[in-house]
Amino acid sequence: MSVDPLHDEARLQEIADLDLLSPDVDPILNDLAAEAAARLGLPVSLISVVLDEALHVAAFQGPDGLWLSETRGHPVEWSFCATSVRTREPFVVENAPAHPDHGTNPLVTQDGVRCYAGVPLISRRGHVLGNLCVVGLEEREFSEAHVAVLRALADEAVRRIELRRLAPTNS
Amino acid sequence: MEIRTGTRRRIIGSPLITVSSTLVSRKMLSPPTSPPRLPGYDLREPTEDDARMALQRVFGADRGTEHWTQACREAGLLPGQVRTTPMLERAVKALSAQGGAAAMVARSVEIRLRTYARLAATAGRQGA
Repeated sequence: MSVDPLHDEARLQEIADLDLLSPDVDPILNDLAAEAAARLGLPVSLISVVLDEALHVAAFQGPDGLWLSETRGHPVEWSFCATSVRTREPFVVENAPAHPDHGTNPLVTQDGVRCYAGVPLISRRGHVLGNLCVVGLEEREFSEAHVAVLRALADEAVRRIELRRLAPTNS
Repeated sequence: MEIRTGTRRRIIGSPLITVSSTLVSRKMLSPPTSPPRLPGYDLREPTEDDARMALQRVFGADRGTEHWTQACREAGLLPGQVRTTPMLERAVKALSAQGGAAAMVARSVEIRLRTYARLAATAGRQGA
């Protein structure tokens, strides 16, 4: 029986080894989230860590007042990012209310999410940790160039994450 | 370039398949034994069973139970008797202290507790 990658112990152990739940991660990655939002012209960008039953927000760029910025996460069944953990590929949603998997997602029906594009963060050991993604409140199309921008920023995020493993702080 | 868009794949630049929106039907009443769910979000507050089963999905039945039993013991609680949210929070904190993948499961439960509390508070304010 194949294990759902979301529940893969080795993947979760990798997230622990990289200390990705530490508050120290946000300042290391936040500029990448900000750049993703700016370059794609969308209000929200985040760097997610997809856990077994929840999405953890490692870095966040978005307007004040969103509940996500307070909870720093949400249940995994609402997560667009979980798809890339399973497929290891980019995932785009251009019209969320019409999407077969996310049309009834509360982030869509209650919070107004209309579009999403994310690329997986894959560690040197081959585990998908989460995503670098952008979120918008209006339908829109994403081009190959847009995804390439996200992929480059995700690669940089992984590079910085791996540096933390190689050179842990003494604190 | 091929990009995954859910259950389908499409090539960027190709037309999107249009899927009609459907109205979300909401359960107006829950069975008496079912914990309440947040309207709209269909979210239930996590319980001890949820935490234990989450551990079992990751570690298997025996090791998952061992992790939970240890967390309860460290928190001064009896497994199977974690009946309130503050008790569950204590057990989850102890689970987090185990480190490794167990701490990741603990963070998942914590996020689900926190999300439920935050959205329930908003729903309460709107309903007041």
